[in-house]
Amino acid sequence: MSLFQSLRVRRSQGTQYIRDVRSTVPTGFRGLPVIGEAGCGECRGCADACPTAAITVAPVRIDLGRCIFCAQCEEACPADKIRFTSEPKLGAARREDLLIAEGAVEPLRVQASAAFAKLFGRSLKLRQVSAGGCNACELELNAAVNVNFDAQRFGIEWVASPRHADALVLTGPLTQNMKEAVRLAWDAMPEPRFLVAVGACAISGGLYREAEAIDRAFLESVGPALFVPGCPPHPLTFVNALLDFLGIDT
Amino acid sequence: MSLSIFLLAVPLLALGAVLALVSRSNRASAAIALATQAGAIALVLAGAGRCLLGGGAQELSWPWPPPINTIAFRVDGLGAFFLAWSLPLTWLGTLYALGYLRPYFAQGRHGGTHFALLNLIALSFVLIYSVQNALVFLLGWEIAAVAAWLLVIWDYKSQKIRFAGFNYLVSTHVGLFVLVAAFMLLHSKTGSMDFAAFATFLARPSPTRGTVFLLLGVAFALKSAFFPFHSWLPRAHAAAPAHVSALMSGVIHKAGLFGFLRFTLLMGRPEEWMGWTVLAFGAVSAFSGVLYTSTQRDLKRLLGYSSTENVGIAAMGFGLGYLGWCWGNASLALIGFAGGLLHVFHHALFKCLSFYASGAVYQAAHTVDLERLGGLARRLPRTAALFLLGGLAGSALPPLNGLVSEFILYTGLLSGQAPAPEANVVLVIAAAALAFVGGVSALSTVRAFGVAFLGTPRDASVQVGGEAPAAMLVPMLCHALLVLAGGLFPQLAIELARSSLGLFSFASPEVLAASLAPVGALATASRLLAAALLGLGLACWWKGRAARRSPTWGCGYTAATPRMQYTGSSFSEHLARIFEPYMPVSRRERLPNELFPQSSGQLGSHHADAVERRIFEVLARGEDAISEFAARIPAHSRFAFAAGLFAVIVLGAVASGGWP
Repeated sequence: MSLFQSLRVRRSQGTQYIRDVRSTVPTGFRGLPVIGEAGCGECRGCADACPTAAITVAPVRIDLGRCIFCAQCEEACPADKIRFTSEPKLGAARREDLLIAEGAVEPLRVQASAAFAKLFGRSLKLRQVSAGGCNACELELNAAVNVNFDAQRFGIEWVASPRHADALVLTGPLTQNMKEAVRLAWDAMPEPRFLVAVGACAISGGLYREAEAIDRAFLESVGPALFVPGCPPHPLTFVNALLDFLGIDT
Repeated sequence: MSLSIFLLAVPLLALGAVLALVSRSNRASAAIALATQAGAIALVLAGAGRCLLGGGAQELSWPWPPPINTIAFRVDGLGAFFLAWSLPLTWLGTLYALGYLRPYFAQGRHGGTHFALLNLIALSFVLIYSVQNALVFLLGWEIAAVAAWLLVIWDYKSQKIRFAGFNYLVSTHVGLFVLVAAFMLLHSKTGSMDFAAFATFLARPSPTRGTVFLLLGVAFALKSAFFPFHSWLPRAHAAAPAHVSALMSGVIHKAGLFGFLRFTLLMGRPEEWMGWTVLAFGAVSAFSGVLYTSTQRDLKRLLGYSSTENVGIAAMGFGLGYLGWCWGNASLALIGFAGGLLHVFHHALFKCLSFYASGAVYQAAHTVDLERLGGLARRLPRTAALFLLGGLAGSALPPLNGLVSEFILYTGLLSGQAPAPEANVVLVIAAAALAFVGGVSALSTVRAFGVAFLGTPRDASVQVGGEAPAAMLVPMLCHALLVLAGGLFPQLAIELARSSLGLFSFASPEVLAASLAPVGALATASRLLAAALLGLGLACWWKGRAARRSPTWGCGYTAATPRMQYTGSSFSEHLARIFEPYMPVSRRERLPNELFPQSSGQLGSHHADAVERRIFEVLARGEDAISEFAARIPAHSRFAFAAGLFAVIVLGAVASGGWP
């Protein structure tokens, strides 16, 4: 194919990738919840409706680390106090930052790590382990490097071996059957390294937090450096969390 | 005068052998053997050292009762070259024996015989490398052969080892018959058993000279285990104690190549067909030997085949020397002989190292079966490093000594100095064969080292003991240093061989210096490479010293077993498949057949020696044919038939002029 032909194809196809992943807001996406300041009285409708016990009342707070974005609470609230926006930036570097308080309107901020930014700001290689995940998170993670979200442009790539990886991206509630494999993968990674917990299951156990078949001892010994909530998280959530964490300005 | 000092080594070694034999304690036997051998080395060097430094040959002759009449001894550059390293390497082997046989001594075994035999081996070198009389030459030859046989069957209680020893004894005597035949032929033409008389006859081309050349070639090829006369060798090496294998492969069997060179010098300018024969024979030997190394399970069998490969490489050098001599090209001839001679020496250095290291493996693990070993580098770090060094030198990799001699051969084979373009093409093909041999040799080294020393132990029943004792490590270290020195300072070995190369009628110091000039460039490159490797190694060590250790990444699979590692067979399977017509493989397999197999399957493959197998096939077929034929003769006329056969043989002998 000649140069001109390929340029013509390029022109007719247009560009598919999202030019600005930092400010794009997806349509039809259920993202950051906002809690209004209306009074609740004795009502606990939202907390009772929540399948993952992510909501505490008086005052109402939502733990995004547990939230599966099912919007049962939004439906259950007679006062329309809880509303899900389409804001995709949900990541946090500290677990407590994932708690959404009443009246908070600011989007979540990931605290950048200067040390990791210096090391991995230009190139971050990720190894993914699905420890009992349902493949929803994994599909979205895969999408993070497709032509639309194109995380490679920031030097972020998946690699096949933990020996080559800088960060371990964990999905799933960490089942007993996978605990040794996760530990092996983590031990096989060279330092410096960090752990990213993706999805409600990985962050808190999600729907399976009380199941007998999970064993989360690994996460207690190795704390995640970055949390990416969602069920599953949007690729934009994941990419933006990493970019914020590494202090990458686009 | 100094030659009589030299010959004092013979009674000294004999005395040492007797004392070692009668001495009660093993330590005393070893000390006597070591001391007398050290004395012999000093005497030999005092007597023959002058030849090495460029002095002329020294002669001495004694009157002796008939049929020998006079025994002439003559030490020239060639003999001095072989003596200069054969005796010290035997001394190191004797020292190694002290460490290697220690477990046997601890069980109360008396080792006096063993040390006495090692002394006799040294004695046979003094005779073979200096004597000028065919009968005394045969005596030395026979002493070496029988002593080597007795050394091989140290573990004589095992039937397998007795069989291997017997196999060696028969093979070496088949070689002896051929050698005797050649000497008888020469005697019939010259009426003398003196090499000097042989020389005057061999100097003129004649059909008998060609026959003698072929007979001697076969005899020396059997001694040095050239393909296809090699089949006894892997068996003997696998059966013998490690130092005996080392000495046989590295030192004792070099007598075959010495004999070849000795008669080359007696013969003078050869005919061209001889050169091509030797070159082709050497190439085939190197090619076949190295192919067999790639499939062996037994570490010592592998090293045995590698001997066949390396004597083949040396013979390629001699063939090139013959051709250069015929073509009147002194430079090419010197390159060929120098390359061959240096390879003989360098092979002795690195092959002994490999055998000693395999002996240390045997001592620690009580097996040298590659498929049962694994992960030895952690348990035997020194042995592992030394084995790797020996293997790399054998694969002709810089900056080690194996490359030097092969490099000289490459410069000759690729020089394009043959008079005919067709001949040049053949030489380039020979160079390609040599490159192939080096490559496969590297593969075999990687395979043997990787399977035995890396990975994890394959067989839980193999209990690995500790590192080898000092008596074994010191000889290995000496060899390792020599291997390194040979690569970094190749001029030293050339100096050692200079006086032997000077014996050739066409040689002159100027031509020698000019034709071996590329070695200087090689030495510089080797030193630079060695410095770079050293720097890199130190840097890696410095950087990795604080590194965290974690287990091998196995894709998170938690049910991995040592059986899932690469085996020796699987490592070389691709190569073996390409050369399957050449290396027949017998497979035993029982594959799982149902959808949910009830019993586990099995797969085993075994590479038999093609030559050995063919010999037995042909013998069996011949026997069948003869017995069939005999059955067809009516019973009453069998006696008449035998008488007729005898008459035909006698008449045939008379007719062909073989009758006196």
